[in-house]
Amino acid sequence: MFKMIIKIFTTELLQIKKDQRTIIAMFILPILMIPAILGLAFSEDNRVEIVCVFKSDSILQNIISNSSLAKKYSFIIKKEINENTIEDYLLLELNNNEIILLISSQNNKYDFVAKDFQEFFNKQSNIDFNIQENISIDSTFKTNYLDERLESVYSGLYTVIIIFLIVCFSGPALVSADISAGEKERKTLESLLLTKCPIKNIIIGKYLTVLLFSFIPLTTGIIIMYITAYIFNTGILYLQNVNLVVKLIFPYCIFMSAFLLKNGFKAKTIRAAKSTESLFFVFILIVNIFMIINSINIPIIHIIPIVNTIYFSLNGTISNNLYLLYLLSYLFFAYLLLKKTYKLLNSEDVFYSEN
Amino acid sequence: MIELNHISKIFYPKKYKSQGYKSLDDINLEILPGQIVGLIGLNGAGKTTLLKLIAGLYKPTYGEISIKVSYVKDYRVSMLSSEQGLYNHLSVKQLVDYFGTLQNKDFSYQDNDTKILIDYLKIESVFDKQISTLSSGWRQKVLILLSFINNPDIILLDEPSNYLDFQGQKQLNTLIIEAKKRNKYIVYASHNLFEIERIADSIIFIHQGRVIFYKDKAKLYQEEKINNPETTLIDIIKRQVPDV
Repeated sequence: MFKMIIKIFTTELLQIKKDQRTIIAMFILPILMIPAILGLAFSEDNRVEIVCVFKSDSILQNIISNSSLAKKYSFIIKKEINENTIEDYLLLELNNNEIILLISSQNNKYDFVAKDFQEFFNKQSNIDFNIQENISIDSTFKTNYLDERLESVYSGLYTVIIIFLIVCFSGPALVSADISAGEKERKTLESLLLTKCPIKNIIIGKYLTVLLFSFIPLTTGIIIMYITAYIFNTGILYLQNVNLVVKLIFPYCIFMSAFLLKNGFKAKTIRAAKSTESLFFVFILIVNIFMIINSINIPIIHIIPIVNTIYFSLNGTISNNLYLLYLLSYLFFAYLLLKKTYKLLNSEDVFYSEN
Repeated sequence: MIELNHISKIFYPKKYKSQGYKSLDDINLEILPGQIVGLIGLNGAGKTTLLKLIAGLYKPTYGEISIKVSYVKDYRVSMLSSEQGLYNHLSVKQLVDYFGTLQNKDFSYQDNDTKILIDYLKIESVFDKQISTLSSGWRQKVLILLSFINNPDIILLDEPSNYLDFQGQKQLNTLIIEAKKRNKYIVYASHNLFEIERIADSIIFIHQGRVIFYKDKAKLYQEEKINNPETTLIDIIKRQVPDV
């Protein structure tokens, strides 16, 4: 079985090797685009803002719970800093390489200093603190310290993820059309099916090829992101976002490869396959625009492929439980698509199906 | 035995909408081993569809196909068509190796049967060449090699002599006759009536998706040539279907 799969995989690689422009584009695209965007996003002020407010019952908590962005990042760190001084709550908000600490204090006294935070951040020498004391919580507070931060999420992490959505789609799209619809166009599919090689093996071999070409731009992009992080000295918090990109895009690649393979076998010609892929590409863009305009937060959004990736990239975070759901939903839909491909290849529809 | 019982095949492409296009209509056939069955018919008569149904690439809309190869449990089918494509980016050697792996066989050049076949078809000279650089004749020879290399039990040939020179045609005929001697099932579809007259043991004539006749060649000639010894296959066909 493995011998057959490996043989199909290597033979497809030989086929793709002919089209060197596609392979080069898969490397070049992330190399050029990611540093340019990240460079712009992270060349801004990266000081840590510490905003100290008085304890005023649960006003701070109300603000946190009313802010769709802030509550995603909130957690209590009072013990780690100074148990005696900070009365009840700390909010840590991370936007790419930005940190805002909102501190609610019991009295009008701040006896903690920057070095406390320094210790908390594992002595990150590149973090510069900007402490603003005695900020009152009024109508401008939310706008100044919470809502404005949303824009940097849009421009930073979100943009990077959108690039990955595009490059991890367009590269394998060319490959999948060639190895699936191309078999029909070149009239080799009949010979292939007549070999009595289990269809399952044919699908796995071809799927692995598409998956490989989906991971090439992802891997290149991730390496470039780390290099960019090193150049711009963005620190550990930025690298956490790199991890989020990997977490969000990896399942997307698994799903997208299955989708592209199925689409390829459904199409009669390479051209027809590419035409459907273009439509799907437009669909991704429309979903993006829709998600930016409408801030939707319904539970079902977590299990709808692509929509969920955009949703979590806009939010800039994903909890472990939600990530499990996210991963499972992508795996489930990828499995469904591969099963449909199997069904298609098992039926004669594969010879004359059209888009 | 290959048995086709009331086989009909209807395609439903978009342009025909719900009605569909009937390619084969109520076909009943019995194909025996060790016989070369010639399949003739006009363009679009349903010859290729019939071959693809036997190969298992298509499934009948109505009816049933039963294939029982007495001496093996898991029979092998090969189909050779002049329209068939090849993997242009591979060399002949890589292609043979690829198909060998997919059929769970090692078609290495050292294998005796493979060597005999390659030597016989004189393919050795192009063995390391890329398929895309080969002429149509050589490509057809490579297809013949792939069709016979796995010692198939059912051999379906659709215009197999296209692009072949006289040497290639002779080689093909020899391979077919060898397969016949080994009691294989052979269906040979062609437009070339002389070819069919020469090689087939029995002849199927399909017209507009229906079998007009399926007879043993000797019997067919015996019946039709009673009055005129000069009668050819084309005359027999014209008698059955005057508008051909």
